[in-house]
Amino acid sequence: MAITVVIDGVSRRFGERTALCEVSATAKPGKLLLVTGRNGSGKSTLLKIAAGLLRPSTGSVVYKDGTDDGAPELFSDRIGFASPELSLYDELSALDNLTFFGGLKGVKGSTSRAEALLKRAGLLDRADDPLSSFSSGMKQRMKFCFSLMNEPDVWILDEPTANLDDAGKGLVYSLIGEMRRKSALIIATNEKEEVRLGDEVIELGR
Amino acid sequence: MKSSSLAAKAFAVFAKDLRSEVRTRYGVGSVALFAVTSLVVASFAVSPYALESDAQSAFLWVVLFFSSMSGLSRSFVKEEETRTSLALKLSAPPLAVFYGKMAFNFTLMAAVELIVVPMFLLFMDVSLKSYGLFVVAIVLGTAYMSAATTIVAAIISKANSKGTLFAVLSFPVTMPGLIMAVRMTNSALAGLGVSSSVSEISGIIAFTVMVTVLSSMLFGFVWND
Repeated sequence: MAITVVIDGVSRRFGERTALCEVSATAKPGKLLLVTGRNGSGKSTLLKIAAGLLRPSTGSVVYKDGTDDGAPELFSDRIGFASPELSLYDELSALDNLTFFGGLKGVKGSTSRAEALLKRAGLLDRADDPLSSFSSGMKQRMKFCFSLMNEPDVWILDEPTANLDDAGKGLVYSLIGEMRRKSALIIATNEKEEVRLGDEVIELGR
Repeated sequence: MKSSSLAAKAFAVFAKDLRSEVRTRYGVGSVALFAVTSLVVASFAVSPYALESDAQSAFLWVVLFFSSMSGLSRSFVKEEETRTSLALKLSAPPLAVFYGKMAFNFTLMAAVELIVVPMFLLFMDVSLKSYGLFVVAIVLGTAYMSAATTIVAAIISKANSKGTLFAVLSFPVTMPGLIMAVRMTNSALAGLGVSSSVSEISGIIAFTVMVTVLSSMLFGFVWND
């Protein structure tokens, strides 16, 4: 069942510094909520709060799927998240990484799912190579594979095209096109090309 | 399409850590290096003198304690340093991570003991009289050390001076179990049977359970901080 993410008056302070102030927005299934704003405006913080990786100082994030309402942590198996701050295991192969995380998320047939994603990302021929031998762009593609292992109902991406060449950007845009048909998407970016994709755009730090 | 129990997820975390360790050999290398070096140096220093069983048992656990200090924190520190903790937080419930890491620490320490204990018996010229109690002491002592150091490792992985802090915080937490492990080992070396150490055995089991339960309750706050 599709999930709607309701962000209501979310603020976050780190000590004396306020990183995010009173942000409200809604990410609906089939829609792309786009978060933009200058560096340090709190985009990454907001995405981490939306994914349940960080607690807001005030306000709330509620996931609603028609039957249950609750905090993001309760829906963690249905969230896909990719960010520059996230890394996978360098010493493990691409396939081992994805099957490991797929197993943790309870994905049945995680090996075939991982292989399908690696093929989609153009990395299937490197499936058995350790991530330490991958370029930064290839690692970025791996993050997308990681975030899609559980076929998420909420897909959260922080600066998705950073480190990617044109082919990589094309992959991201085509994945966004597919995912926005069924999932709620939240993307933080400052790329003008991506900002135009948003159904709803919120600008932080104005 | 989705299924998985807590035990299966904990095992997945354990298996992942084990696979990483087999590929990098970082943890076992640093722990074993310290243990073997200190054993060899000490055996040369004291070889002309016959140590009493209480000194021998204390020496064994001092080596095992400081060896574990040099490597058991790695499982969490590495997750933070390489920024893989975020992916793990997104994918696994905190308890699965805790139990998986604890199982890995136990296995790592047990692997090191497979090298260190025979060397200890050989180099220190130990005449072991009660094998059963000796094995019980090693297994229970290792279980306690693993349980106690796993939560400390999770706490210090967020700090700046990780190495120093790990030893300082681990010392009071591991002390009750260490004392009982030393006593059991002493009894084993003196040739006393399992029945002579019933209070130590039940004590260390109780402490291990208590530390594990309290750590499980605390871990979620530490991990999600």
